[in-house]
This record gives sequence, C-alpha cells and structure tokens, in this order.
Amino acid sequence: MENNYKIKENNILEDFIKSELSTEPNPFLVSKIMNRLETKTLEAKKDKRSFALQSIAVAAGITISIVMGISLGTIYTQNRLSNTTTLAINDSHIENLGIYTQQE
Amino acid sequence: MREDSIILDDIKGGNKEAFRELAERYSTPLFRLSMGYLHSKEDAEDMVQEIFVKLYHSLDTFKGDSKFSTWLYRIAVNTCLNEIARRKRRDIFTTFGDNMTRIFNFSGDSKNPEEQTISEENIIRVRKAIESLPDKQQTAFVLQKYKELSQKEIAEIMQISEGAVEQHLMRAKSSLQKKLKER
Repeated sequence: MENNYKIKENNILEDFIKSELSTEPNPFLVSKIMNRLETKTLEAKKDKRSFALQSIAVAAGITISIVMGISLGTIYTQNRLSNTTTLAINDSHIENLGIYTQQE
Repeated sequence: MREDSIILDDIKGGNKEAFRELAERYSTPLFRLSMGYLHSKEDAEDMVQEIFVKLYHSLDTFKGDSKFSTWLYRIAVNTCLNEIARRKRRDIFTTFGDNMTRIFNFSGDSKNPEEQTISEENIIRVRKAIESLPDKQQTAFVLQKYKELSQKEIAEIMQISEGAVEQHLMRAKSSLQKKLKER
C-alpha cells in the first residue's frame, strides 16, 4: 500500500516535469534577447549622460549659492560700516541748546 | 559548430553578432532550467532574456577556470533564485491571482471536467511542493530533472562536493514525497 502511494506520487511528479519539459519556448526568443540587450545598452549610455549632466547641475548650483552668499555678505557689511560712520558725529558741533534753556 | 571559447573571444573583440550564436546555442537549455524554477512559459522567457543581459555585462569577469557552460548555468541559477526570493516578498494575492490565471489558461489534453480539476489540483500541489524546497535542494533537483546533468556537473555548478549533491537530491526527493502525500 505504501509502495502504491510512492509510485502514485512519483508518477504525478514525473508527469508534471514531463509536461514542463515539453513546453517549447517562443521561436523568436533569440531576437527578443538581442533586442533587450540593445535596449539595455542604450539605456545604460543614456543613464551615464544624464548622471554627468546632473552632477554638473548640482556643482553649478552649489557654486552659485556660495558666490551669492559671499556677495550678499559683502554688501551687507559695507552698508553697516557706512551707517556707523554717520552716527559717529561729535556732539559738541551741534548747536548749544543750553543758550535757550538758561534762565535770565 | 564553433567552440564557446572562440565565440567568447569574438564577442570580446567587439563582434556583438557573435553573441547571437551563444544565444541560439543556450536559449533553449536556459529556458528549460528557468521552467524548473518558475513553472511558467512567459516568466521563463523573461528570465532567459535577463540571464543573457547579465551574461553580456559579465563576460569580462569570465576567467576560464571552469567550462563556459558551467559558469553560465551558475549565473542562471543565481538569477532564478533571486527572482524567486523577490516573488516571495510580493503580495500573496498577486501569487494567488497568478495561480488562478494559470489554472484557467491551462490547455490540457481532452479530459472530462472532473479529471481536469484533479489534474489542475495536482499541478498546483507539485508546484508548491517544488517551490517549498530549500534553495540548494531545489537547485540540485532542477539541474538533475530539468537539465539531466550528472552529479559531477551539478557539483561544479553549485560549487559543492558530489556527496553534498547526493544529500541534497535525497532530501529533495524525500521532502517532495512527503508533501505530495499530504492532502
């Protein structure tokens, strides 16, 4: 009885494998392989080019940010210094207000 | 028929068309191998294309330590196993849907409906049983049953001893018998 089960299971397995082995691939499989290879090669070239462009764009962006930052900083510093100079007036040159407040 | 090594030298020399010769020689054997793992004609054809693309980009790494076919089957086995691992991570309903599609698209020989149901049930059982084998057992089983390779050739592809191959085959056979007995 045990042997019958084993034979039955083996038959199921062998039949399954036999049916899969009898499946034939698409007759144009080789052409599909060559097309896929061509597509992948073109995609790889495109990827390399776009990666190079991306790197250049990122580097340019960083450079522009740094230059703008330095320029803005320089302008701000110069303006600050001018304002400070304006404020440094000697008070003794201002009209003596004491004249107007003196009691006669 | 040219030797593999001569075709390889041609390809490395820049003759892309020589790759077609390799594809013609190995597409059907690789298709059969992929069927052993994926059990679907369309999936096996996709897998064969994937394997050849990988092969093309790895040709420079082939040192000639082993036979070209051994090296090629190694790439094929690894690619198939990676695909199976990827599928296991997928949504279970997708797998269920695929199985249902396969059942309804299956065009068997002329059987009555009851026989057809039993036959389809057996297909699913066997598929599940093979897919549930651990990677090394499944690989040894597929290489023996689907490629009819000797234990020595299987050992070279799997980079293990012949004794280990025999162990894996015995365990695979025992595991499959046990699973197919379950209802």
